[in-house]
Amino acid sequence: MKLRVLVVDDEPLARERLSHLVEELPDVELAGVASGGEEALLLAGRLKPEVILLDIRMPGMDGLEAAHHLARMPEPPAVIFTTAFEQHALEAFDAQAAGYLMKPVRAEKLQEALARARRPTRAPLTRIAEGTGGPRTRIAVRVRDE
Amino acid sequence: MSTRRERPDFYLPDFCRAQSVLAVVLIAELVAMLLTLARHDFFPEQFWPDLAQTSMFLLWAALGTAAALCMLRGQLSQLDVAKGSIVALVLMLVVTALVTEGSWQFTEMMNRRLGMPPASFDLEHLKELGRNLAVCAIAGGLALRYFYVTHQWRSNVEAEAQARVRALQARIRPHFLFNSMNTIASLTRSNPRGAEQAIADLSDLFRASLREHRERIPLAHEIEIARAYERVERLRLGDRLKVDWQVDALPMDAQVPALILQPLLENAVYHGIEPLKPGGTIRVTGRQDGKHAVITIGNPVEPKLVARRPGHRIGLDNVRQRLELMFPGEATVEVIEAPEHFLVTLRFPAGVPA
Repeated sequence: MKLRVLVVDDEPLARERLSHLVEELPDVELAGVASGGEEALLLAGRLKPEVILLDIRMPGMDGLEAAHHLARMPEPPAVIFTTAFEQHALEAFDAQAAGYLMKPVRAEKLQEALARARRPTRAPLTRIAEGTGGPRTRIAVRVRDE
Repeated sequence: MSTRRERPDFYLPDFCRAQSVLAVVLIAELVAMLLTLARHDFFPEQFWPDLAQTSMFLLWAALGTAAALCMLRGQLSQLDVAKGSIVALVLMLVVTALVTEGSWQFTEMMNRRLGMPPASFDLEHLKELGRNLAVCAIAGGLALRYFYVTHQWRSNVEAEAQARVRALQARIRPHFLFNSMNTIASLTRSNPRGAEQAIADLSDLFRASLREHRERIPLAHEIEIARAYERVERLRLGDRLKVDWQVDALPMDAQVPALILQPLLENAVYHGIEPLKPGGTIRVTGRQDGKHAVITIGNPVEPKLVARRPGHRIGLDNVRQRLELMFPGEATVEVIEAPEHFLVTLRFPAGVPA
């Protein structure tokens, strides 16, 4: 079964590139694209993607806020954050992200992150959403702002 | 000879310059005053004639030394501090001895003409020579020490200022760099020409940010850099970003520190346009006000934004400090912060320094 992915980014060109990368991967399918946090929530409910590639910095509802809302869905999708600069790692971590990708995203890294997101069943994800949390495996912290 | 560079620790001022000559005259007069005061009560009859005589003598000695130092500067500047100081001091002593000898001979000649007996020669002559040389050695030593300390102090101040400028060198936000790279990665598929343009614009920007500190560029060039930045951001933000340039009235050949305008435009995009969902228009207006150039950058602000993005003031303070370093006391950066608007006004001398 193909993994269904929703791409969320406010920048048209960033959206375009990530969509291309997703479409080129085997066993992965682009479920849709959204240009902001609100639209992402709407499409997540309607399209039921298994994974969301979520930009952190967006006008209006940003990626972190959207992730918190997504986690409260009955069947939350796995969230992989995408960001240009690693200053949100800690917050992303708190938002129970399944992954964290740096822009420009490399195709191999995307493939790895999607493979990891595919592995856990819904159960641990639901548990995460309830706040019990899974084991922390990796962490990147950047406290300093530019 | 003239192509040889001075050693950085060479501390003597250039005695060929009028300023230094004036300083020498002043020092000589002060020493003359000191010596005369030491010999007399305050203002007895003998005070003024004696002061005149001492001044005359010291001015000859001091100006003669200054002339010699002026001529020998090229050679002196190649020596290290100790050797240079000794040579300078010896030079002073030689000039003083010559002037002493000259004045002695002159007095003798006058005495002969007036039919007065010659002064008892050897002992008086030697005593005067010795006394003058001692005074010269002490006063000259103090003067050299003074020049040395002044030089050290000045180079410290200069080094500090340079370090500050280097620390302040405009930095482009990493966020902007990586977002632009992402944009280019995307363009290479759909719009290779656009990618090319973006790479050229980014190169201009980074070339400007890597520029040697302290370098000044014409305002026209700085505006070009800001426009290159705008083009890169427009690729990314699309129609959400509009910049209204009203800068034709600016003195385009005015010299400014590189990246004085671009960081403010970047601030306006980062703090103003990006958080606004529909985007907005940044207005850049420029005019000349007498001898000053005035540039205003205004951007809309998302009123609901509770917490401003961090780093709000850093870019602004950086621009302010670099303008202050380049135009001490003559440049201002004013900020007007309204709930839905943010306005920065730069004001700096528009002169074209030689």
